[in-house]
Amino acid sequence: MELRQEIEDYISTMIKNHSKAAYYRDPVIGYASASDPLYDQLDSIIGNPQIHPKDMLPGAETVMVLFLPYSKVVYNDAKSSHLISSIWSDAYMHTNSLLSQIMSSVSTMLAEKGIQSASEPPTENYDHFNKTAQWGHKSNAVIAGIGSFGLNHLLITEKGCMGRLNSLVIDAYIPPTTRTGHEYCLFYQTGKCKACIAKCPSGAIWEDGSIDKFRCDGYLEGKNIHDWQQGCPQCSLGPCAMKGF
Amino acid sequence: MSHYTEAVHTAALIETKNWIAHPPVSAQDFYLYGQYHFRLKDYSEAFHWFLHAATNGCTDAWFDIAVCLDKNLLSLEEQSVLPAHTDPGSLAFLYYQQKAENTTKEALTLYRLAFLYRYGIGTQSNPIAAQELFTEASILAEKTDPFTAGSCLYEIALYYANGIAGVTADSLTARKLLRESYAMGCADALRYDYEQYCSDYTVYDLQDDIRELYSFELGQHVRVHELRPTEKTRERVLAFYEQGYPGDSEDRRLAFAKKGWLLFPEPS
Repeated sequence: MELRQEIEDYISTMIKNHSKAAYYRDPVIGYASASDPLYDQLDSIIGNPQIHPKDMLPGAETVMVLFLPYSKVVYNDAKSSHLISSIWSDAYMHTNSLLSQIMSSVSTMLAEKGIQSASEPPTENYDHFNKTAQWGHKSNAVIAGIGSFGLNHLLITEKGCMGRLNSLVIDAYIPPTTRTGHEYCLFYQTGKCKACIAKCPSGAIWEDGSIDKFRCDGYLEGKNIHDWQQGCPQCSLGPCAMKGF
Repeated sequence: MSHYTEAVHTAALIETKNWIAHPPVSAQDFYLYGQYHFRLKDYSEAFHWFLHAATNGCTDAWFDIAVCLDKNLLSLEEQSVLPAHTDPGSLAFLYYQQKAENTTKEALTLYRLAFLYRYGIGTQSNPIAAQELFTEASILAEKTDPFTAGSCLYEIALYYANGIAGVTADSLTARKLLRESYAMGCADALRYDYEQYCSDYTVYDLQDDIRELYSFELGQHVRVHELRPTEKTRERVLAFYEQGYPGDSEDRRLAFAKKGWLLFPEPS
């Protein structure tokens, strides 16, 4: 069996067997070449130094990106609840844990084949004071061609933006998925929508494409007083929640 | 996040887990639980627990109840549960006056007595006596209780900012004290510094701090309004939207105010 197929079957099985499988739809998985020239440009595109896949793992050839989209179970609860959505919070915590488990298990499976890999956690891998990360899962996803940045600054895939991401650097070659440059964000396609701007309670998102991370993060920290009360899904609840355009 | 919001957020996470694991059972617990809610800006819940503490023998709680009343944090309906003929301010003043005279001087006791004198709560307003006590308390608290020390410095800064009780107005000294106060965890000091002395946001040296503080407090108020909505909680949320976000242009200020009205409409 091809390595790619083997990895994807393994991941699908883990998701289907998870106790919270009802929270998820089928994953979107993409592959970027570790030698993709975009990796050399990320420092200037993002504006702060980024780790190159080959710095994370000597001999890196491929970056696998996994987007795990939430199901309607999560969407409906977050959409209908003006209060802090308990299902959203539950999904957030379980998904971070599941994504870490998946990457760890895939690493072990690959190691048995003599393939080395390295990953960063799905969250808390950024500088809280400057709001910058050196390894962006979203950037990897865009390079792998599975989505584009929306006006909400989330990754929008063919299955929407409501979900969570992780990535794994591998020292084996897997053919890269195609990057077409397609914009999945309705606003960037048509100039209309702007649902995320309207919904963001802290007013952090602007039509010029900028986002004030301090404004967003400060609001979340004020609202969230417990790990199980993840404060705000609003910018991911627009038309792009469950599908890209 | 700023160091202030980082510290307050971390403390809130720890405290929340602690109270879930160990619910309040004694009068002192009720009081501390009330203070926890007060820090989260959940004033109704704080008042409930302060009153529960006070009526079970925790005299300190009368001070906190008096502050809730003085700052107009409660609805008339909420205030109506106070026992008849009870003046929390007077009870707090008598308690701290005796405590300051009879025992080893504690910074928090002196700060609270000063606060009651300063704002005329439970006694006649006496800003001169208050200033002496704030100064004494700030020195006592400097090494052992930075938050109380910061609260004292904030109050002293207001004397210099506004020329109170014979103190000559001196904005340089006021700002120096406000910055020291903020460094000790007093968010009111940063807000005052920004609102009174920042005429040009683009050159304000604590831009990230003031923006994060603003968002952080908005998040706190929204949380409370979602959990226990009242007209008071809605007023507090809307005040943030209407006041405008630090550094926003006029267009953005207007958009932000409109956002508040749309997200938090008047209950039908």
